[in-house]
Amino acid sequence: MTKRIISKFLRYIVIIAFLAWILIPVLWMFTLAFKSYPEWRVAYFFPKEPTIMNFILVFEPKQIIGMMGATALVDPVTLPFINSLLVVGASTVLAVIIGFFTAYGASRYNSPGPFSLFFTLLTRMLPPATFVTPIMVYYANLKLLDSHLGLIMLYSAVTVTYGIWILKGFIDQVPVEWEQAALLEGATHIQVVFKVTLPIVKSGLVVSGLFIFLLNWAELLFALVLTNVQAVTLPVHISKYVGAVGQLYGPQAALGILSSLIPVVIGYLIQKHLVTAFTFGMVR
Amino acid sequence: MMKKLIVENLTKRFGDLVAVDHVSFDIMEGEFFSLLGPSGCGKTTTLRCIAGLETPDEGRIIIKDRDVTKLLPQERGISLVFQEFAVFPHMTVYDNLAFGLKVRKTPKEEIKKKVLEIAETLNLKDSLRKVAGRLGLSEKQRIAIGRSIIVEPEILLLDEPLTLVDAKVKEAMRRELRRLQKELRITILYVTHDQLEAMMMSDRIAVMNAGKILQIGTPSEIYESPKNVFIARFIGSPTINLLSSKLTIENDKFSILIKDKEAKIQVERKLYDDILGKHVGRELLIGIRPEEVEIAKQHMQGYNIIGKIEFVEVMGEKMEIYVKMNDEYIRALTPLRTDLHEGDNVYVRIPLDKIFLFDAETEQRIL
Ligand SMILES: Nc1ncnc2c1ncn2[C@@H]1O[C@H](COP(=O)(O)OP(=O)(O)O)[C@@H](O)[C@H]1O
Ligand SMILES: [Mg+2]
Repeated sequence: MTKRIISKFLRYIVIIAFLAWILIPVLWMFTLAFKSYPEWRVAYFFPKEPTIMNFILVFEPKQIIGMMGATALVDPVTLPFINSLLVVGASTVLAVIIGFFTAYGASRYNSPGPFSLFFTLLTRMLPPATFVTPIMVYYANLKLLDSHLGLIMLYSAVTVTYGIWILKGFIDQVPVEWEQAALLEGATHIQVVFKVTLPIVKSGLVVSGLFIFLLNWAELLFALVLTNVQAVTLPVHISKYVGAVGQLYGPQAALGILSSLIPVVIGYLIQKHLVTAFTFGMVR
Repeated sequence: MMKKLIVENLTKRFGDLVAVDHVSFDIMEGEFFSLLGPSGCGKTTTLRCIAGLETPDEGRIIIKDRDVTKLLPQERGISLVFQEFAVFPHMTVYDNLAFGLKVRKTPKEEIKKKVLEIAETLNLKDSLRKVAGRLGLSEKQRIAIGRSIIVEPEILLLDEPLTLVDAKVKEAMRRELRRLQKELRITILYVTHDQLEAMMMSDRIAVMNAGKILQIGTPSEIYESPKNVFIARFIGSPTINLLSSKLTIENDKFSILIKDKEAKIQVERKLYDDILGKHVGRELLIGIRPEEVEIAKQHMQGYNIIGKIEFVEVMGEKMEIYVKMNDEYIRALTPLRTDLHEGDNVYVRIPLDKIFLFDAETEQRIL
């Protein structure tokens, strides 16, 4: 009896330690966002006088000037927020669509062969810093610097490989006999793909989409180098607070919350698909 | 009656492996025809060739007087029910049944009428609105069959459709399938490795091994006159007894001596000369089905083999008795008897008119 209580106790200790390890920084960000200016740099957890000032500052950064010695002006978060949504949303959709068809070919026709498929991971094997410079030079010539299109192309290219690999796993699980049965019953190949395979691996599309979205949503380096004014994304915008203006921890935390809002909402909306995806293969 | 399907010299190789080796058979309209053979003997490959999912290396396939060897799968007028029932988990039962008609752009009204009809026959009426992925195996099975017959194929191919189903449901499904086949007058080519299943359901059976068809016949033909040792052993449960023996001539009689058992079966020479004459001096195998073996506790006329009961297994109304004779066993299947126990010494009779004789070397049947 006592043994059981002890083991239960230990189990909770481990769980709490684990949660603390991942969640305390997030919690810190959360409380910091509601602290007022004088408390930003104080190391206690809960704000004495909770305020939403930081969230207002994020939208009207003019008021920041003068605080804590800040001199440079930061833009409102609105444009970077819209940019991020647009760029990351479009590149995710693109990566999932291209990923699906590549994965389909890989799964059903063994094309382009396992070795080539492995090499779609190449962009993930190299540190992005190694190829961001050549890309910048190309983009400068192609007039793609600081453009949405440029970022969308790059983001979908470097993440499509996840779409391919994740979706191949899902498509492999769909018995090829199901497709053949549909063929025998008179469906065309296109119909087979769109009416049979695609809907069955729907949860795979959603999961790979979420994964790709998260990666791109938090991407900093490419965006930092390739954007300037027009196409600045949220991570770049947040980093400006770090470098350019000084120790504006409060607004940074508020920005952090704002930028995690979208992934959290998306995660909530698709949780049904997440469950399906984790148990995929049992759907048969 | 009309021939629905003719398979001529069908051959399919995978590299060096000859998966289907010059297979020929034909199926009559409305017939329930089974391909029976152990796993890996080429049954699925044969079906896939007929369906057009594999390209044969040799041979022709004719469906209803039309050579379809070169046609696409969807042009052949066949349906195939796979072992992995093709039931799309994301669709409702209705949409599953309607799939083939929808992709053929059948008018909505007609689809509805046909789906309801099929659902009625298959007992699926109450499930039409349910999502198919959540249903049980037996329902999925019926959906898969419904989907394949709703497009009115010339012939329905089924590839071990009952393998995944558990024993209890299996029996009901066999009956169900047979009923459907009769009721809807479907021509069926059924593939199975389960001899009992093939025996129960088929009008005719083709026994296959290592890519070749060994024998084609009605279940009773195959049971009562198997062409070789493989078929004799494959058909029937419990398995047939095969006793090694030798054929000699004694006093103008053929004498089939059961090895080391001092027991022999004798027949008049002049009656059997045609059949047995050329095998004198050769090793033979005597085949006798367990249900034909007779056992007595006392010595009686004809009960010439002496043995000891090693093991008794009761199976419902029947019991299977293993009698040990020197180093060989003979199995007998009898109705329940209370007088036989493990360890008893018994006398065994092998009725002459019930035996098969096989040449031990060629394994072909000679009598
Ligand atoms: N696509 C394939 N490639 C190579 N060998 C195959 C292929 N399909 C089947 N075979 C081989 O052909 C033989 C017959 O297989 P199959 O027709 O599936 O047998 P069955 O259905 O009777 O169990 C087996 O030895 C199998 O390994
Ligand atoms: Mg098979």
